[in-house]
Amino acid sequence: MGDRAICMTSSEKSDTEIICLVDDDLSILKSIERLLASDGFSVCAFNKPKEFLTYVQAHAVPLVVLDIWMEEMSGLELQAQLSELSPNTRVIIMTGREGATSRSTTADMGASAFFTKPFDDEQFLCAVHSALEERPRNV
Amino acid sequence: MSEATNLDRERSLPAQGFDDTNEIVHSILSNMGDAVIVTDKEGKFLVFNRAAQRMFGADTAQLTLTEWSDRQSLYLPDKVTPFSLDELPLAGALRGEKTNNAEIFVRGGDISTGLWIRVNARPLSNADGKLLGGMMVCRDISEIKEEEFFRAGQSRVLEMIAADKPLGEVLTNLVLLMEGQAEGLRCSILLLSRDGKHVRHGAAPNLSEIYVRAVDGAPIGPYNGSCGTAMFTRRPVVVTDVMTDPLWANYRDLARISGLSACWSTPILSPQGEVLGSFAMYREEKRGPVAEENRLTEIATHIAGIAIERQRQQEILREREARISLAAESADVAFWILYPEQNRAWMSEKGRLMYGFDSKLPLTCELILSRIHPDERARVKETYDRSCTLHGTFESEHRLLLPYGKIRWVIMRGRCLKDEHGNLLETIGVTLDVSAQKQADLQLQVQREEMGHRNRVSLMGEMTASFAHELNQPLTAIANNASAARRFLERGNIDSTLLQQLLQDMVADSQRAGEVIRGIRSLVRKEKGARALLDLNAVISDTIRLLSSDVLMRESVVTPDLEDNLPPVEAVPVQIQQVLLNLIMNSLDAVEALPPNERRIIVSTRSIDGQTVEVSVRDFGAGLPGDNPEKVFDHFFSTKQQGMGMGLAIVRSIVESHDGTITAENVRDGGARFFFRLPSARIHPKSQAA
Repeated sequence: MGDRAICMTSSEKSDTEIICLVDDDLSILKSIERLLASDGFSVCAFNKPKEFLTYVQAHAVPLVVLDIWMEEMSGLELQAQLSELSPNTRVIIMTGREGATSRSTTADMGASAFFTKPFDDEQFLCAVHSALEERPRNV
Repeated sequence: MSEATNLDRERSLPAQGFDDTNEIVHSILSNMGDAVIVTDKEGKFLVFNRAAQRMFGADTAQLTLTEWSDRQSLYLPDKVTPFSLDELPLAGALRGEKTNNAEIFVRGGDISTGLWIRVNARPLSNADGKLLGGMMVCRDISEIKEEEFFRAGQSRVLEMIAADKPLGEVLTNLVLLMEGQAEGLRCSILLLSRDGKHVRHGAAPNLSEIYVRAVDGAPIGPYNGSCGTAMFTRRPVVVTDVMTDPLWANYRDLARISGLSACWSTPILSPQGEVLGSFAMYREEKRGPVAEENRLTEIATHIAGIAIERQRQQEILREREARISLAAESADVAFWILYPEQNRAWMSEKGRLMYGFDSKLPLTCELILSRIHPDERARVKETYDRSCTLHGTFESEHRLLLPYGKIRWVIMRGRCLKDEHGNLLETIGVTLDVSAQKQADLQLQVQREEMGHRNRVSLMGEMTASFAHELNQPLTAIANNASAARRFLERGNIDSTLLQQLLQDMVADSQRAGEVIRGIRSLVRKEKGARALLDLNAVISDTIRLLSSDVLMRESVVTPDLEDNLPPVEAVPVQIQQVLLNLIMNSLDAVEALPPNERRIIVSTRSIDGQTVEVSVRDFGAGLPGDNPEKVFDHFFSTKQQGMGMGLAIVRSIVESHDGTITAENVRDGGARFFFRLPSARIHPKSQAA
C-alpha cells in the first residue's frame, strides 16, 4: 500500500468542500474517491489513519468517510480521536461487515451515516450531501 | 554250385592268370560272412553261398525263387508283415530294379530267434544290357539291430520316468527290457524300505508269485540272500550256486521251487550314494555273470536309480505339499509353490478358493499370474523378478481379479529356492486375503476425509467475517468505479485516460474477487487434491491474510515470524491451510478472554538442519490443561463451550498423513504453543516450490 495520501480536487467546489477519505484498502480508496469526484467533490484520501489525524490538525475537514476495520487503527478509535481533534468534522462510516454494535456505537458517537459495503452510489452521495448540509454541532 | 561259373564276368578271369576261376569264386563265396544269392532270369538259383544257407536254411539251393519265397519267412521291420514274392529284392532285381539297404527280419533259418538282415539287390545283365538274372547280398545286422532296440527300450523307460508313470510300471518295463537281452535271463528289482532295514518288492515279472511274496519285507543283513546282502554291504554280491552259498541258507527251498540256481545282485545307489534298492539277475544254471550281463546290470542299476530317486523326490514333494496343505487349511492363507522351470504350480485348497481355481485344474505359473489385476500385473511380476534375484524373497500387496469380476486385496509373500549354481528351482509362499481389512481402511479413509471436509466447512462458518470482507472489498470497488464512470459519462467530462484506469481497476478487482471465491471453493471441495511442493511461508501469509478481518474484529494481532529461505515441503495445499486455520482459530479463541492489547498470536517457521521444517503457532492465553497438554489432540476433547473437539484431532491426522509430527506444550512465560514438523522435500535445485 502506498504511504502517501491521494488528493483529488475539483474546481466546482470550494476548499472547504474537500472531503477526506480513510481506508487502508487502496482499491476501495481509489474507487470512492472517483465516485465523489464524479459528483464534483474534491477528495483527499488517506490509507493510513494516523496521517489523516495529522492532516486534520492543520486543515478544516467538513466531512470524513471512514472504514471501520483497518489494521493501523480501527475506524471507531479514529472517530473517537477525531471528535477530540476536530469536533466539527462530520463522519460517514463504512464497513465490510455490518455488526449491530458498530452501527449503534458509531451513531452514538455522532456519525452522520453508516454504510455496509458494497453500497448504493446514489444513497451514498445523498448521505454525503446531507452530511455537508448539516450544521456543525458546535457552532 | 558249378552253375555259378556261367557268369560272363568270371569267364574273363583265366585270361588274367587264374587257373581255376570256378574254384576261386567258390572259395570266396563260401568264406564270405554276407549271404550271396544269384538266380537266372527264371528265378533258378545259381549261387546260394554258405552264409545264405546259414541265414535261410540249408535245403533251399535246389528250389526256384518262387518256391523259396513260399517257404521262407521274411518279414517287414515290424516283424509281423510277411514279404510277398513281388516285394522280394531279388524279384525286383529280375525286373531290372535295384534295392539298397532294405532291412528285413528273417525267421526259419538256422538261428531260432530269427535275425535281421540288410539287403542289397542288383539285376545282372550282359555287355549288351540284356538281363541275365539277379543278385542279392544280405548282411546279418542282428547285433546292431538288437543294440538299437535295446537303446530304444532304455529311452522308453526313461520317458516313462519323465512322464511320472508309477514306479512299479517303470521298473517292470526295465526288468523286461533287460530280460529280453539274454536267453534264459530273469531279473528283479527290490527296493530298500524307508527305515533302511527291509527289502520291498519292486519288479519281478518273471519270478514266481511265491518267491516275490516271500522276499517282500525280508530284512537286509550280511547273510540275507544276494539282494539283502548287496543292500546291506552296498557292494555287488555274486552267488554262483544258491544251493551251497551260505548267503542263501534261508532261501534254498524258495530257490528250488522257483528253479533258480545262481543269482547276482548289485545295489542301486542314489547320486548322493544312498542305497535305494538292488537289481538282481537269476539263472537256472550255476554260474557267475558274463561280461554282457555285467554291462546290462550297470545300465539297469543306473536307470532304476533315476526312477527310484525321482519317485522318492516326488513323494517328499507330495508329503511336503500335504503338510503345507494341512497347515494352510487350518490358517486363513493360501499356500503355493511355483516351479518356473517346469511351468507348474501347486496351491492349497484354500488358495484355490481364494484365487478362484477349480480343485482339479492343473496350475501353471502363468495361470496364477493371470489372476492378478491387469493394472498391477506388470508391477507385481517386476517386483517378483527383481526381489527374487536380489534378495531371494519378495512381498507384494495387490488386487486379484477373479472370474465374474470379483476383486480381492491380498498380500503375497514368497521365498525363492535356488540350486548351487543360483538357478531358481521353486518359489514357495503364502497369500493372505486382506480384503476385509482393506475395506475397513478405505472406509476409515472416507470417514477421515468426510471429517476433514466437515471441519473445513465449519471453519468457514467461523470465518464468514473474513470471507465477507475479502469479497466485499473488490465488489465495493467495482461498484464504485462503475458508478463513477456512469456519472462522469452523464456529465460528459471524462477523459479517456481516467476511463481506462477505471476499467482496468474494475478488471483487477473482479479478478481479486474471483481469487477469493476460488479459495473458498478449494476449502469446501470434498476431494483433498494432490500433493505439491509448498512454500510454508507463503501458505502462512495467505492464511493470515484470509483471516485478517476476523483477527481485526476480534481485536487480536497475528504476527508472522518467518525464516527466510525455508526449504519447501511436499504436501496437499488445502490440508496444510486447514491445519494452519485450525491452529490460528484455536489460538484466537484462546486469547479471546484477554484485554485487546494482549490478544497476540505469533506464527513462526524455522528449518531444522535443512531436513525438517517446523511451524509454530503460539498464543498468550491461559494455556493447555497442565496434566496432559497432548490430550487436546484426542477426538471430542474440547475446552471450549461450542467446540466439537474435532479440529485438533483432524490437525494431527493431517500432519501425520504427511509423515510429520505435532506437539502441544505450555510456554513458561504464559500461553500455549503448537508446533508441527514436516519433512522437507528432496528436490532438484531447479524445481520451484508452489
